[in-house]
Amino acid sequence: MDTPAIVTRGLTRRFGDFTAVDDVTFSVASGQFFGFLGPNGAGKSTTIKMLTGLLEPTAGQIEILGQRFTASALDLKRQIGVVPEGMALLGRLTGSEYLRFVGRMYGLDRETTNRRTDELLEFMQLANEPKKLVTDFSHGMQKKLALAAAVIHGPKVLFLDEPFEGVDAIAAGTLKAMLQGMIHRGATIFLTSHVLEIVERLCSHVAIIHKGRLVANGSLEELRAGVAISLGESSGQKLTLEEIFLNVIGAETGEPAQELSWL
Amino acid sequence: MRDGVMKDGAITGGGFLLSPLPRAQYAALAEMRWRMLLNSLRTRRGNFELAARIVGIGFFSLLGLAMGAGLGLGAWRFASDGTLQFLPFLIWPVLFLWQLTPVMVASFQEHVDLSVLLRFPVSFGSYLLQYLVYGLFDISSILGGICLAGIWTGLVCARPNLVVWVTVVLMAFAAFNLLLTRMIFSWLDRWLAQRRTREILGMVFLFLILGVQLLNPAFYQHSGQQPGHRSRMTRSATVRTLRTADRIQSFLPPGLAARAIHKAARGHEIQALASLGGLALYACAAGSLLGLRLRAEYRGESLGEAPQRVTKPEETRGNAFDFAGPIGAVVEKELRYLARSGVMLYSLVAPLIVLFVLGRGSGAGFAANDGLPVGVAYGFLGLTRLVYNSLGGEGAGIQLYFLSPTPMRTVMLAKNLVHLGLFALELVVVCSIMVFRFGIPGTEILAATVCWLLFALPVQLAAGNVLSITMAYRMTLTRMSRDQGAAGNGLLSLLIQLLVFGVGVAVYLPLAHMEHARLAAPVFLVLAGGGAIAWLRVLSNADRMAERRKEALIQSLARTG
Repeated sequence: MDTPAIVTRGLTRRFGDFTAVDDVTFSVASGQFFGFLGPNGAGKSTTIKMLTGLLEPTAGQIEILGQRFTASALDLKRQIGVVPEGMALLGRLTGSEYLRFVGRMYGLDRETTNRRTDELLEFMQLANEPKKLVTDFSHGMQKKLALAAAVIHGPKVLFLDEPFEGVDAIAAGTLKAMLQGMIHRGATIFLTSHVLEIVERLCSHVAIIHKGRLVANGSLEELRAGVAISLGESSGQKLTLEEIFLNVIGAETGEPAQELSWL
Repeated sequence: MRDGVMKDGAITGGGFLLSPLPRAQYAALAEMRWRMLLNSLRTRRGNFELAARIVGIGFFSLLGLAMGAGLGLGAWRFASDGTLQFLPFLIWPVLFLWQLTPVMVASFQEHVDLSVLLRFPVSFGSYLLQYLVYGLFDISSILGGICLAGIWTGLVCARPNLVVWVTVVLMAFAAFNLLLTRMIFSWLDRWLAQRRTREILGMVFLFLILGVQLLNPAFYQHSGQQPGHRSRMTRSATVRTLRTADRIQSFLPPGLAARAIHKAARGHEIQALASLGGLALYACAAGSLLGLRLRAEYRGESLGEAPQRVTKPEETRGNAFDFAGPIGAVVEKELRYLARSGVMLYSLVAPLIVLFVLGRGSGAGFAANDGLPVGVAYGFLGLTRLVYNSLGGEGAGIQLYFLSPTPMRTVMLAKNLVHLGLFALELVVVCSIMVFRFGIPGTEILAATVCWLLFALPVQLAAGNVLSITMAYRMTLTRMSRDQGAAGNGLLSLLIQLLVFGVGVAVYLPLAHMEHARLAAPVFLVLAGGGAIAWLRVLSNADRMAERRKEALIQSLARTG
């Protein structure tokens, strides 16, 4: 049996009296495209920050590729790639300079860094403006660059926090093609996104977090079946991920609670 | 319905500076600043920041009070003796103080970036007014204002009948200074933000330094002649020079202000009014240039450096910095950032300019001995922001250091190497200036200074690394503005630098007094050993410190708002 790519046990993070992530336990198999969903403020970004070493858990354990993950696990860091919430870009470098910088920070030799930089810029359609500083990039270009930086060292596990936010359809297509290619080559991807259609199309497994607690976890088919049973409907009915999501977190799709008469 | 308020609650009347909408906006801004201050007090860092600001403003206010008292006494004397023609000797220093202070305290002064207001329905007049109001709280304005208040007090005490004239003239002079300093900074912001204008400005700075250098030999060109002949020539030349200078200065703002008061005191109201009018014209000119700049900013000008689309990919291989490994990567990145940040370049150059402009060439051995260590210590001020807030320019990129497998100690070491390289460059320039202006220093002070540097540098780097990790604040590298957190870091870094310099003085002066100055060098070498150990210890603990401060660092540097 393959070692899971990501395992969390009782993962908890508190900010003072507020518990952002509460006793979250799940496992992501190697080679899986895993979607991590939740409404705003549910604890998605906090979870991904803990999984990537940007935030210390208050309690619980994290294992990546079978090894206990801590912020000082430098060898393990070489095997993961991250597009964090703030994208971690250096605005006063050009795209090419930034990728070369990241490659060297991840310990790639000069030749490999240069070759991969050129290939990534070409693939991401960022090669046309070599002198443009990252700060002058459009939001979509910055997202593509952040993704390029996250994969330049060929990670086995990739963490993506809202990679499609503010990205146009063409750029989104480029990103999706690249991510699917990585899955075919055996990488594991942990994705958070509000764009449920994309998650439904890309991910084989999904977990849903709500108010810091994990409220659903499984393959799309398993979640569909579970929700159908709870709704008393035949399991043959094909529910969309959006319907599953709304049902699981108990949100209402009707009228807003209070009308804004002045709007 | 209240005046200026529509029935649906929307305030109208944004056309004038004090109409209801701008008034509501001023109130909202004041409340916002107040809430930010209160919210910042929730953390220990915020409390320290406030205390640092109070200490800083208190220190400069005391300095201003001392200078104001001196100027006030002088003004009282001139007015009592009927020698108000000498008033320019008091007003010119105020101008220099007001305009040079921002350059001298560039590393410690905080400026508020008001361009964030442009997303709201703020009129241009309100925007300009806000820009000026924030300028009132600058250290230069506080110092200049106190000095003018001192002159006002001295003049009015001696000649109460001049109260109206003195008040109007000095207020006009204060307005001119405020407009001038804000105008200079707004244009500097503009020029330093883009590569081409930055290069031109760099050349202007260079020519300025070289130009001032030439003044010195020109002024002392007769120094090789016979003493009697020299004194006669010097006297007549000095008189001629002073007369010319007096004629020129009387048409410049400080001269006009002094002349207006002088003429009013002699009952020549028309001439006084004419001088006041001239001063007002200068203020209008400075205000117009400021308005021109802010108008462009108000219209949504972007100061980003987006060059024209280039279709041919850039050839990047084989460049000069391309040495392998994370240290090389960080060094290369730091140098690229430095080259693209006019503000950082300005911070590096500013102390050198001040050092040269304010340095007084005497050619005597005493000055040469004093000049070198003082110049070297002052030259380090240019590196203050780089060394003591070395992570401040990373922005969201700080996360990369925590995500990548490169330890933080490697990152800090690479940054320190860049700092050492830059300081070596500054040192060459400082030594050249010092030798050129004061002559070659004695062997003992030279040896003591070199050994003191061996102590001071590792101590500064160690302290800089600690403050960079524990008290980092976000720096905007294209504008002369900084976020909250700059005051605490700035004050502590200044105190540490004073302490390091104080150690040098405390070791050297007693030994020199006992005629054992040559012992200073070995003492400094012993201290240097301690400094080096401290630096290495801080480097080896950098990962632990950064790990402990990780969340606060990311929060303060990566935030976008």
